[in-house]
Amino acid sequence: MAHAQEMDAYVEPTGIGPPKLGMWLFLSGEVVLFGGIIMTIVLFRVSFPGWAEESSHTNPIIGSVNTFNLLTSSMLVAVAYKMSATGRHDLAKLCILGCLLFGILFLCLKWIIEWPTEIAHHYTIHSGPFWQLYYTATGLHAVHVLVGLVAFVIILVLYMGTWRPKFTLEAAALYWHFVDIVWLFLWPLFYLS
Amino acid sequence: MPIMPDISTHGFWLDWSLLIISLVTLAVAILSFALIIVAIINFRQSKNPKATRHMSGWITRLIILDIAMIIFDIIIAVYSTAGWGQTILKSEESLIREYGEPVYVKVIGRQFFWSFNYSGADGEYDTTDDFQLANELIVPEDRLVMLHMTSGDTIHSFFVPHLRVKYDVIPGRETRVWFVAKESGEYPSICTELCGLGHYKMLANVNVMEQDAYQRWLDTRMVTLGAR
Amino acid sequence: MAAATHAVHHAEIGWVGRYIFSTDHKMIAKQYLLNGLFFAIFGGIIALMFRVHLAVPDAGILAPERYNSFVTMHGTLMVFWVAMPILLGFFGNLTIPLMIGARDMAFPLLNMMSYWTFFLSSVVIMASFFVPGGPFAGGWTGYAPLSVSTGMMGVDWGINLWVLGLALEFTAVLMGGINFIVTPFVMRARGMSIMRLPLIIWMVVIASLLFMLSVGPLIAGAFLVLFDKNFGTHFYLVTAEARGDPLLWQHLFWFFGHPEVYVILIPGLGVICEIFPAAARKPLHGYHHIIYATIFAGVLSFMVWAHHMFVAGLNPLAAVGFSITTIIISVPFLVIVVAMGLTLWGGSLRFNAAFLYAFFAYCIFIVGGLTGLQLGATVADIQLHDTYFVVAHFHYVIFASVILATFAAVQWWFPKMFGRLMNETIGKIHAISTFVLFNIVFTPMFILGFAGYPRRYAGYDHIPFLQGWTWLNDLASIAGILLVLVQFLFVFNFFYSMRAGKKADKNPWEATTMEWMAPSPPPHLNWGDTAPVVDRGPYEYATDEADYEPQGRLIALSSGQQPVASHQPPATGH
Repeated sequence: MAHAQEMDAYVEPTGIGPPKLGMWLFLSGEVVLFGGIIMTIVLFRVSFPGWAEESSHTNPIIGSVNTFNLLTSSMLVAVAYKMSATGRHDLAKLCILGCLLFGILFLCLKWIIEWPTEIAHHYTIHSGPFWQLYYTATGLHAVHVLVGLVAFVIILVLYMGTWRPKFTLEAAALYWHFVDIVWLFLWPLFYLS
Repeated sequence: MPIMPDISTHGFWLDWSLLIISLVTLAVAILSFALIIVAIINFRQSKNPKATRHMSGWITRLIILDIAMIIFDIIIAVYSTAGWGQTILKSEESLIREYGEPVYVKVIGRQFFWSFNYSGADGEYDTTDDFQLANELIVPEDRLVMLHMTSGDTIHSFFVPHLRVKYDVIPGRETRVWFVAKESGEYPSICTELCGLGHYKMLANVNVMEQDAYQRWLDTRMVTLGAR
Repeated sequence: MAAATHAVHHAEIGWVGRYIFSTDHKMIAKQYLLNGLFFAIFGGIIALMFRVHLAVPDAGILAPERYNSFVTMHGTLMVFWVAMPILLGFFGNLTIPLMIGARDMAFPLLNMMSYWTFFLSSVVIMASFFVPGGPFAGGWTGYAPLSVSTGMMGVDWGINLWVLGLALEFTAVLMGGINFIVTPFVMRARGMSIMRLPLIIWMVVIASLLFMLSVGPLIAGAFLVLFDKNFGTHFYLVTAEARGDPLLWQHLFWFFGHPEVYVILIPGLGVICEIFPAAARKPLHGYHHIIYATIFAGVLSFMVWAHHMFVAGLNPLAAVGFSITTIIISVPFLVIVVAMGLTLWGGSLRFNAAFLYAFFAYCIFIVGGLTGLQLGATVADIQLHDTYFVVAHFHYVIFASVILATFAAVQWWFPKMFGRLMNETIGKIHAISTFVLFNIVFTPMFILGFAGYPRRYAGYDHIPFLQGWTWLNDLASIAGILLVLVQFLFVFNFFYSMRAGKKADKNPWEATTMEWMAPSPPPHLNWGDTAPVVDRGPYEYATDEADYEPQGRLIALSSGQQPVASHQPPATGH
């Protein structure tokens, strides 16, 4: 087959294979999507005087614990990738499982404890600029987290078998780091301002 | 040009900038199309069976054209910015210094009518002598008129072609336009931002009165209000 | 290996796999083209209906609420469901693998999903015509807060379907866009360096990048529209209880909107760049200049969005900056237009129908570009904003790239789609009549714009000061109706030639680029048991030895070897 590839495809010596390049492009689209949302938040933050007051009604402890959760799971994914690349698949599986658990913890904290408490205190999506942005932006982010978790479940199942496509884990890891970075913007904008 | 006659003091900035840009772009267009027509007539296959592969000096010509375009761009930018500085960008203080005390009118756009609110004799809003006109703006000639505009529902745009005035009317914000009308008469105003079903019927009348007629009208208005 | 089995199994895929859920780039290109043409006809008929209404307003052809809906849907469909599928989906899918010497796109499955997502979006937007309240009526720009309020617009489900359809359509184009960017970067034939890529490839790549980097804020903004409309938030809406920001949508929309205009303009220019050298039998002038100018224009397009908002409550000082960046854009486009013109100069022009289409597109685009200067100059824009001048300006730009360049491309690449040639005579008659009628429709609109004729008006008879110019508007209406009707010549030519056109050989236009080395139509995986190799730049005409020299040649694969889809990453490394 090596001969045919030599004949057929002229692959640029960039070291980036097609799937990876595609993933980066997808993420560039996601960056502008969240860029638009973060710009909107900043715009409202500047023009809406009651922002800091409303912001003090969020739960910074849950926010910070969730930041810790995401950062840890991001780290675990990086370790899993390293392990998988060096052939230690058992450790890789363990790390992916850990990353899954921290991700699930993130969503549980947010959807089972944080949001219901706030809604019980009548801070709903109708309670003014801060809260509508809060629910929209963190909700969209949480949906991204959910998508990432589904991807990791699939990867975990794949890694249980013998076919372990190296790129799948790398793509999921890239995506997961991106979701993490978005949270690092949302966290100060909503919890610490 | 088919443009409406200008009765404002700032309109010449706009008209001249339109005229200059239009004439130059027209000249550029005529020149380009002349060259294009020459090209397609001269270089058709039956007349020129063998194409010339190498053409010398074209890069120089391209650079010259680019420089010409940049110079033209600079002229447009400078002129339109100067015009902008004399119209929308002009501050209220410098306008008052130039034209004297203004007549203030509050404009509220609603689906699908305009209401023009006058502050009455005391010059203060939210007092008993306020009054408003529907779809009719009455202003004196040769005096500075400042419109403070806002909307009750969606975005509208207040456009008076003869006065060279156009500005959006936005809910939750106040936008400001000014004009000084040079000639009395009745001028139409139309809405130019799609605002719903009746958008095309959202017309108003701008009635520019001579100064003493305006004063008489205002006094009568006050008397009627007082009697009420 | 998966790819080899894929090739072997293709014969057994069957009708559904080959014609419906196909992963073959040429089939997907045809699907995109047909879908786009359907909406072009549909959008044209919508335009015909509201121009008839304007010509005879009392006949009761359209109710005012229908008028707004139809104007809106004409714009929406033409930009998002005609221009995007044809200029990116069709051009990209048909040309990229063939012209770079690949066997298919980098991600064929993603490519198929892209089309079917697009198809789903088509269904959604068509469904909006049949829901109570009718389709969206807030203008194709969907200015909030009108667009988020059923009470103000008089449209209910149409709003949701409009946003949903757009979101699906953007997803489809994003999926396609990843393919369009990745494929030319990693799957070029041997010898095809980046600076040997044909210009249409460059243009599709740049357009896809522009789209990818600009669409995010609009998707975010569209979410907020749905929330305002359905969940009672106040992102855009201003009421007594809460105060949103109506200008937010305009910023989000136009940050996307201006790059979007270039997304649907640049591939059209790419088609002109392909056809001009072949028709003039000489190399394209300033290949590098055109590429750099396009990239420069693309970068600038992210810095000009507020020129749509000069009189919309934008800070007047900011308007000055946006005006200057807007005017600067004339420089890169001057370079592109002059390079195209110089390609014709000194040539030996063959007036085939495809060249006529491309040539008329070129002429119309010059007018469209020049009239942008009036609108870019802040002070002149006060009078022209939201008048027919704007309508005429963007039709001159977009009709050139979307409609005429598409006709040119279809006429040009028809052999690569169906193995036959389109009828030249019908093509020429259609090209000339379209060009003439187009000018009769839209030149009067420049004049009407000066006179202050506002756009999106369901009638002008009740506005006294515009009466002097009514005849021009009527002229535009009549010519517009004819313009739409003339397009059926093309439809007829398309389907007639598909069945009964002259059989085309490999290279009917004697062009140099790679796709003309493949059979007409190319088989699945394009190159059979040969592989293309590239030796020179894309436009080698009138060389010392020959009239033209093809960009590459085909070399035979060693015997017994299966053709391999080159999207498979090499076994070693990467």
